[in-house]
Amino acid sequence: MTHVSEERLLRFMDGDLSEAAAGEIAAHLSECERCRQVLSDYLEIEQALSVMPALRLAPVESRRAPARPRHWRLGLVAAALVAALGASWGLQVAGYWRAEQSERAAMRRDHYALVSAEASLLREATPR
Amino acid sequence: MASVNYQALGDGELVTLSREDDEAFGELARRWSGKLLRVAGQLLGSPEDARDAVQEALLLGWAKRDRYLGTGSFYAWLRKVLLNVCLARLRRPALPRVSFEGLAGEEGPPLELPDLRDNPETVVERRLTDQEIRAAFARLPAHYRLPLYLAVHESLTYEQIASRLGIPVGTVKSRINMARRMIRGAVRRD
Repeated sequence: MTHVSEERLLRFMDGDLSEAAAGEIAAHLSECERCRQVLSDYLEIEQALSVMPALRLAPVESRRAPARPRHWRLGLVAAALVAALGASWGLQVAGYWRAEQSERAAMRRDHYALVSAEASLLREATPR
Repeated sequence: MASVNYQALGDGELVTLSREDDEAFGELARRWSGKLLRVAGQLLGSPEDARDAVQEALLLGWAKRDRYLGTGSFYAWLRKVLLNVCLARLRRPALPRVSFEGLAGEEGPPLELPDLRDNPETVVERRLTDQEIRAAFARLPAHYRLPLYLAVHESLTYEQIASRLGIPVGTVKSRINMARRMIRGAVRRD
């Protein structure tokens, strides 16, 4: 028997599938104890988290954004490699550098979004 | 007292109102029972079993309505209660029945009612403990923890979470599901 992937079971749990796709999974669940158990585990996790005490969020002021990347260090490495090994190595390092910049920028955006959301939650949780 | 137009109220308002007014929960039941019946029918097959399961889920939903804290979809919350009920029924296909035959003054065929000596809350046998689950949740990286918290504890929809966090809806879904999988991976028994 081919089992339903956890990803699809979670989408089924969330009601995030078409009626036809949900029907197929429901039919499988009615016959498959293993998939029922996986779904049951996820429902237990939902239940446990839904009744836990509200998160205590740290004040926003105490949180720092991730340190800005040290651009100069990678720049120096690239320059040294260009001098020592030629332009192709330098271009490769420059490629890594751009990818790292992009990843760090995404991390900073996520961080600010989290801080903003937690600050908003904190305001809502604070009695006026 | 002025009459209330229940149909004009949102789910959150009806849940709040239902603490003092049963009719408010009646409106929620009418609003969502059709969709719930389809879900239960898909899982259980028989329309009678589906009706019983939805009725049980609505009773549980009413008893636990204070746990619905959010502004998100009440149907989504109730649907999970129903899934729990259906899984329990699939695990234990037939609840034992007790007969009321012989009650003084009764006429006609004996009335049979389900034996609910098992509290509905305990019908589903639990494998994982709340403490383990919450400990695993607390260990998640923040960018997984917060979306899951907003979805499960605050009952926010994916779209509401995306707007709150300023990230795409697809990212919200993938982070929530990854967080759930990480928690299950940390606490599963098998």
